[in-house]
Amino acid sequence: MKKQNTVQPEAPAKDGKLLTVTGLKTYYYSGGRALPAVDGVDLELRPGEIVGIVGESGCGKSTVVRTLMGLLDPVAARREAGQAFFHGRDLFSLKEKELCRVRGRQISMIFQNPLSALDPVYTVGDQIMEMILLHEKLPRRQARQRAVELLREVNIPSPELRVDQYPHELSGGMQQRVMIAIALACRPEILIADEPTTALDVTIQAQILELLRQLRDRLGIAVILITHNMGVVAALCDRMMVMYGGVVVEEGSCRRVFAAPRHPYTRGLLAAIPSAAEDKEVLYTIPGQVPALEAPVQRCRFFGRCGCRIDRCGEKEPPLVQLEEGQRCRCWLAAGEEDQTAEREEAGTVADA
Amino acid sequence: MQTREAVLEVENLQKYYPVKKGLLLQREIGRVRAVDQVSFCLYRGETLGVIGESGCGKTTLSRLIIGLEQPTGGEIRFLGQPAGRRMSAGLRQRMQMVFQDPYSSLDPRMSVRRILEEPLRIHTRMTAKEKRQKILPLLEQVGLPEEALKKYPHEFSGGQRQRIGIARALVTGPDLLLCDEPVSALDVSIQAQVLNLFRQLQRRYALTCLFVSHDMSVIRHVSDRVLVMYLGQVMETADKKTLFEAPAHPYTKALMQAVPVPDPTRPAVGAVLEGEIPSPIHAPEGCPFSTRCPHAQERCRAQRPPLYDLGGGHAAACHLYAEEAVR
Repeated sequence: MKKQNTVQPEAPAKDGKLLTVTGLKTYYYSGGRALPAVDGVDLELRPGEIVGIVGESGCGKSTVVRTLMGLLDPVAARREAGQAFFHGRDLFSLKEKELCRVRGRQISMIFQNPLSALDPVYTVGDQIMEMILLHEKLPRRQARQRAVELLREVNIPSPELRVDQYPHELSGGMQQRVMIAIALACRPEILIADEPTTALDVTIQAQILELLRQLRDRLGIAVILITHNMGVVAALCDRMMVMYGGVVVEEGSCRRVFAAPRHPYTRGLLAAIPSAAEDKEVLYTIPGQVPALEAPVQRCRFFGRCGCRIDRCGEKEPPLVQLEEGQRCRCWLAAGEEDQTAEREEAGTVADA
Repeated sequence: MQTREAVLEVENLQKYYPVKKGLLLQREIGRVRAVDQVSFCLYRGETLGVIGESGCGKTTLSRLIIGLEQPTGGEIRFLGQPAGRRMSAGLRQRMQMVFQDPYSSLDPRMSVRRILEEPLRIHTRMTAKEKRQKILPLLEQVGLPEEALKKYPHEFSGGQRQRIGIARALVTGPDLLLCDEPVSALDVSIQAQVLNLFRQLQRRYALTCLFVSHDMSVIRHVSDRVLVMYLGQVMETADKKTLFEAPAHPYTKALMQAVPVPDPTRPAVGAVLEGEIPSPIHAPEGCPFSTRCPHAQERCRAQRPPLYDLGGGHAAACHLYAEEAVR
């Protein structure tokens, strides 16, 4: 490996976590109302780990990572609270200039639609080199050489040729590979992938998922994968977080959550998927609609659609209850009897005050 | 066995698009074979699922059948009469379509009442009262309240709009329903609702459907028989059970393995197919799948395999089955 003119990455935090997000709240402002798109999300990422954030449209999964990357629309959205520690520094306290040095170099991102994320008037090589030259002092010729190597790394055939082509000359799968090459240009520690395979055909999707898995194994990159597809999560992720209405309703290792989902929403989502492997006569359905964003509520966000709701769910929002093996679930039913008593007492004191 | 009534017969259907280049695009340099020698038969009461990746011609196929495109060659017969562009008005109302995007397929300036009445206004001479009598039960069937009639499409969510789209397609009591990716724009929980509704309607009205989708699991859920397409050609056709449990064509097998299964304990299979779907302009000479097929031989690259009949309505366009084929 060449000696690179970069700041050596600092050692990860003592607790072995690469990124720690706590209490993240991002609100959108529309017509004078504050709409909580993300309403208190915690996230932890260890080196080399792949964490999936799943949920349906409007659950806030993209907003979480957009806030992290400082990509919010400054007029319509604002981060209200929360911290994100990366190498001992709060990403949100960084000045724009400092953030620019982290973003793209240490944390990079790929998007759903590669054709709209790539610039049509520059060659693929130019766009990879732009990223390299922005973050590192390197002669152009070497940067170009790196670009070719990166294209080879993401399994693009005949990279010497492809490097001079324009995005429209490549297929959708190739374009997404180029996006990944750009994201990898400065050897980031974290790769954020926002629905990276949604626009692709299944056979191509399988190739891209395989590539992400290889990159993690080879380079030790931690990945935050955002998707609505439970199958993609199961195929790739170590841990997963299920989001609904701006909060995490369930999280844990994939193995655990798929084997024993505890939140009624997670269970519903899994049961609602038609299967290519077996015949289901009737699919389980979650009644109602994915709710529109509304002002902050006191009750459980899934209350209106939940088949297991009890009175309590309409009165107070459940906390994220700690279960076995690191699984956590935001549901009163998952909270054991003891917890319920404790909560009731707590609720009592709140009411008294 | 009682004879089944063929609702739709498609024979050797072809649709080629010329690729033009040069001054004023006058020179034809090639042809895209969007649909190439596709033949099948759709019987009353059954649902035929058409599956394939982008560029396989599944959407063009449904557009040819309903007459939105003029075929280059071949024949489409609907209820025994020529269909497609040449369809008579009487025949036209008996074939309806549900579109993919519930946002662009409903006119935003029309109330739901007008949307649902429009097919009746065009095809029948019903009085206002008759139309209303026709619409109301259907509205209930698709799970929308009566108040919905006064509302406009923007007041509904994607799933509800798709219900409106389905009701509109059913209002003339069609003999054939064409569905082009009707659930792919919807969220999982909403998709399940619409798929269940679809299943109910299939049973209740004994619908005959051509259901186009890129999603294997959706196709498995709704179809009786399945047609697998690749680069404009039929790769395999079989009843659902055979196709999903004992697929013959290497492409069908690969397609099935590529679907991510929501089960993390299943060992990762990795990418099963190398390479990309070839551009349809430069489609391979022989078998269209020969560039990616793990079993490809010299013969596959030179000669296009016919659909070999494997018995029981199962057929695969692959030279591997040349010997086994039922003569």
